[in-house]
Amino acid sequence: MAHPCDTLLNTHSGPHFNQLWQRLYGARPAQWQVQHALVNPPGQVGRPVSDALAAWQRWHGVHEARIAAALFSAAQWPWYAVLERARVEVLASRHLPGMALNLQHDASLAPADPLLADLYALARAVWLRGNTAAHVQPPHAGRWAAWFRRARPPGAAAIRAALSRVAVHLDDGATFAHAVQPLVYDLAATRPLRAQVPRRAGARQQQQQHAAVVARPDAGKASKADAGTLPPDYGVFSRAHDECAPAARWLQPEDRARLAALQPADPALYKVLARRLQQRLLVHYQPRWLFDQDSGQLDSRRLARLLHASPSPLVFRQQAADRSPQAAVVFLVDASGSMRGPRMQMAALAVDFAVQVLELCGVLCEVLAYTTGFGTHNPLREQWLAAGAPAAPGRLNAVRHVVLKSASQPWRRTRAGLGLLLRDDFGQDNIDGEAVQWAATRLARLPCQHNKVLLVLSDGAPYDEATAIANGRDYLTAHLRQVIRSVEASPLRLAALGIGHDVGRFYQRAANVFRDSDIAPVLFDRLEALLTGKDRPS
Amino acid sequence: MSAIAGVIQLDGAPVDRATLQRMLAQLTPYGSDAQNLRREEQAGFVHTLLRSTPEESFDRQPLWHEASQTLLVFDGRVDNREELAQALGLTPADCVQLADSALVLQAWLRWDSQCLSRLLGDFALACWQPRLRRLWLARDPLGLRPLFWYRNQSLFAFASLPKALFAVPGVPRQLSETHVHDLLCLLPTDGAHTLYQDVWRVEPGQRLLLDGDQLHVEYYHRFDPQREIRLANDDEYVEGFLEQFQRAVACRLRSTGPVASHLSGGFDSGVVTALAARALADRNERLHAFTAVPRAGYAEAVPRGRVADEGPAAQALAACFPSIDHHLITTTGISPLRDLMQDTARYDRAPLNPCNQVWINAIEGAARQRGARVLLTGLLGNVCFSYTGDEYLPWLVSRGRLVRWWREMTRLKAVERDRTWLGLLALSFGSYVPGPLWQLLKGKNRTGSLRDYTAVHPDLQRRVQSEQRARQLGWDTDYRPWRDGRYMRATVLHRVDLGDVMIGSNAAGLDMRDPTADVRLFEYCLALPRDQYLRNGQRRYLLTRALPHIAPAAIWQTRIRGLQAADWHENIDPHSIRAEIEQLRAHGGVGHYVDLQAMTDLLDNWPSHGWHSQAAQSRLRLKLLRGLAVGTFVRYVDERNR
Repeated sequence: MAHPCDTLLNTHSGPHFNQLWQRLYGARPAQWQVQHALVNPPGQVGRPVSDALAAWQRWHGVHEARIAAALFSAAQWPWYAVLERARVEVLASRHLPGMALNLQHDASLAPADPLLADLYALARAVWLRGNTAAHVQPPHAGRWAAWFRRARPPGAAAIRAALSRVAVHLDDGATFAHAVQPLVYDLAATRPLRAQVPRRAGARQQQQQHAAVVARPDAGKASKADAGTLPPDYGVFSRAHDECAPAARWLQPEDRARLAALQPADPALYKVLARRLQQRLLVHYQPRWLFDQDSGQLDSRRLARLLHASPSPLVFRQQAADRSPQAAVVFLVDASGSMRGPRMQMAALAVDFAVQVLELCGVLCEVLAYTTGFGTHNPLREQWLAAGAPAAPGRLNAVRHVVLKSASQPWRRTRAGLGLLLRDDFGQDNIDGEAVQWAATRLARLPCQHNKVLLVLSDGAPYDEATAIANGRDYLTAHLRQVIRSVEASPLRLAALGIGHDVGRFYQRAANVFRDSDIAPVLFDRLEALLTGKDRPS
Repeated sequence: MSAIAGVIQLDGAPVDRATLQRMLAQLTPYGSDAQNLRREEQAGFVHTLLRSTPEESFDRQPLWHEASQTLLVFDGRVDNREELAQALGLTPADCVQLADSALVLQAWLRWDSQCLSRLLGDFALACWQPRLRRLWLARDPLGLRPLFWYRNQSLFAFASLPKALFAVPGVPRQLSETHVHDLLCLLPTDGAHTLYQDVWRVEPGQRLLLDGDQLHVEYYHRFDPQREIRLANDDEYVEGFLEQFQRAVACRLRSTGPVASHLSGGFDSGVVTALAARALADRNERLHAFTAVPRAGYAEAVPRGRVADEGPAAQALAACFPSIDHHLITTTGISPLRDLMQDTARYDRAPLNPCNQVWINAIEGAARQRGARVLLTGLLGNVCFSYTGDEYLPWLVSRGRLVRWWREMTRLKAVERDRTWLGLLALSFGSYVPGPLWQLLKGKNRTGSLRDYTAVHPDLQRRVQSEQRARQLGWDTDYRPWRDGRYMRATVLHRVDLGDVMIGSNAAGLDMRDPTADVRLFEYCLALPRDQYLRNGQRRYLLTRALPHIAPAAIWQTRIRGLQAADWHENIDPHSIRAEIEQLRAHGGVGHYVDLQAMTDLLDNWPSHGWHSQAAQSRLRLKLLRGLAVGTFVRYVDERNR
């Protein structure tokens, strides 16, 4: 049965009716800024575009947005978004035959990127008409064919099969997001896009931050100065060996012993630094008081009220309960081989003391580390060579992302994970771009309203020998710059501490230390500046 | 003093603000007092300031002149402010609150790029004229402030140090094999090349014009070895020198804080310190003078004519000037390896002498501790006024003035009895002797092959063809005497580039100033007749006559030739060197340039005595420690994980 408005609006046109229709059908205010880039409409917003926007508003809710934010990175987002668009438009088409009529003009609705456009058409075709190869004749068949030839899995058949499998989840956006996740990961890893598609702004600020981190509308707009350096196709040869797990996965008893043996050469210095940071943070985060309360602490300034002819009982004050933490800090420690030895010991000590202070001050805190899974013996490189060493294979090592402490875990329970960083053979190479992106995504998700700080402790530029040999030395560096650019454009505060090497050419907020003994003082100094707002780029 | 940088987009794209901010962050340590950037449509400029002169309180760079559409970023100091202001028609009252940069902008507006010849002082600048789409870059004639640039099809970028250029996406951070080879082999700087591929320097005395997308480079100043001054008598030469030198010192005393000075046991820093102390005393100000000395009781044998402890000679001079607060600086226990990477990052190149860098750092730290903002030095004295005049003998030979030559040589022999006839003849005729024969004649004092005193890898030598490369650069690896001292000094000046040394001191919060590197003083000293430096067997003839006018003559009798960082070997542990070499070996890239095996072999034969012999100096301080410094620099640039 046709929706009454459907009939009404099918007989009208113009921007006013289009907006009215989106509000009516979408049940939420239109978010033109984001939708514009997502749907990529022509200059004038016509009925198909208006319906597409309305469908998105109605069927892609906060819950779906939250799930997607958790599942997909900036590079993966466009692939997910286009599938989600196909989903909501299929649902709208099923809901209102009039919308189905408008939405069948997929040429005017297709995203600008040809690969995304093809996937969009394919998904709609599969979900609207059923998954038979005979029925599906995606446009640009030649380009798809060429693409399939070049692409590693997933191939054409695999995509169709995957789309067919997820068709049963179209009604449930959250399940759908999980169901398309493997496909999206593979597509993002194997096919670079011309430009990033802005991500949907979430209903909550937290999600807005996240969206901004991974793809702010302006983050994708690289100036021409950057254009020559952005990795034209940052990709990953294989994710089969990638690891992302808590430190406990690798932790051995010897690591705990190593950590137990780690003592600062000058414990007093660390205590002084910690105390000073704590005092300054507590001063900065002064509690907010509610006055004129009828219970709580007696407020001496209001005692005179009791002497009044009709005494008021409102002579108390209460400390306002802050619902959210004042700040969130993520430490991202480079655990590559060059950090090992005294350098890592000092860094571990500094992080240890800093986290203790931050916890005392009620600052949310995560400690992450990153390195690669392989060193000189790299099976991925061997696979690549065995495959005939195709040009530009992308990252040729496995990333190893270690969660030493998540925000919800107390440090006393997870501190032992630091011992892992002290192990000599744990760290290999460092692929900073993906690590920073990973940490920023985690930070954006933390439930904190204000000050979110990502502090990278690194000893230089990203480096992986196999990737450098196969793709050029600047490959990982260019990707790191790209990631930093998007994170710095977000509300997150990204800062770096270069240990033994200069990292200032990558980060706007950077400090370098060349003596191991200076790591702790500089780290505490930077933390204070970042958390109290003294550190701002000019 | 400042650090400057900028980006011009040649393709019409807007300049990325984040890029400018990264450049700014990279240069902030060199200008910790103020940081500013200005972003235009297709250009952006960065300026960081270390306030070392009172007028810099009014410095608001980048400067923009609306009417002429001119933007200026200026790093430096104008030493002829009054003269320039007068030419511009400014009254002294106008200049009180005028920063040097503002004065230079006015000069630029009046004389355009021709104003460079009117500027006296240490400077590097960039002037952007967007209406004409012209960018000018320039450095002072002695290159005391650095300036580097990079260009590709889409952008042109410049900066005081290469590290700021690498903050621009797309600027490759790759070593130039040939120029790292040159650094290892002690060869001079090669034109506009730098240690990085595709990163160039503006040479001293050069101006560069980017006009649209066309690049023009020219020297606006060169020191002319042909020029000669003739005055009525010898006294006038001395008077002229003293006048120039006093002016050169006085104009370098403008400071926002106490003035400090290097004071060794030699002539150059001695006369700089003495004249500065006198000038400051007239203003009721004091001078902190610093002398690096070995640990108390150091008694290792040193070569004849050299002194390990310069403290007594320095103290004797300091005692003549009540306005001097003299400080002896020891560096006991500080290894030359300790801050090698930090110094590499500070200068953005390898420290050439890691042993000396230890006491240089210590003096800078001590000066800052006492609130000093200005640190005087005398780096170029020996090619300026304290030039010995030795090359007068071969010059006389080359001119056929054999009677005069014989007379000067015999008198020199009479005055300096340690000299041998063979040595004097070698000095006179050495330039005519083929290289191998020269090495043979020098006997045990020969310099040997490059591999004897440098850590250059044999494969690198083969690839670059070291001998041919040295010839190409006009460098005599046999170190034969020059035929003309004036030509030699002009050549040294054209080869030397002290810009990174000077800006490196900014990172320590100091403005290093060198009165011996004053252009007018240098031009004067270079143009003096050759016999003003060697007369009647008296070397440094000019200086010898001038010294009594600066301090009591007896003080100058105690001047000695110090052995810098004499106790370096006590502060370094062979095991730590071995560990450092192993780290360089593990890097994988350093071994491409540096002969790590040869360095290890030197460690295996670590001496127990004879630290100051010619051989030990060549093998350990030149080959081993410079090899480590260059290796560290390679590791600094080529970051890897092993």
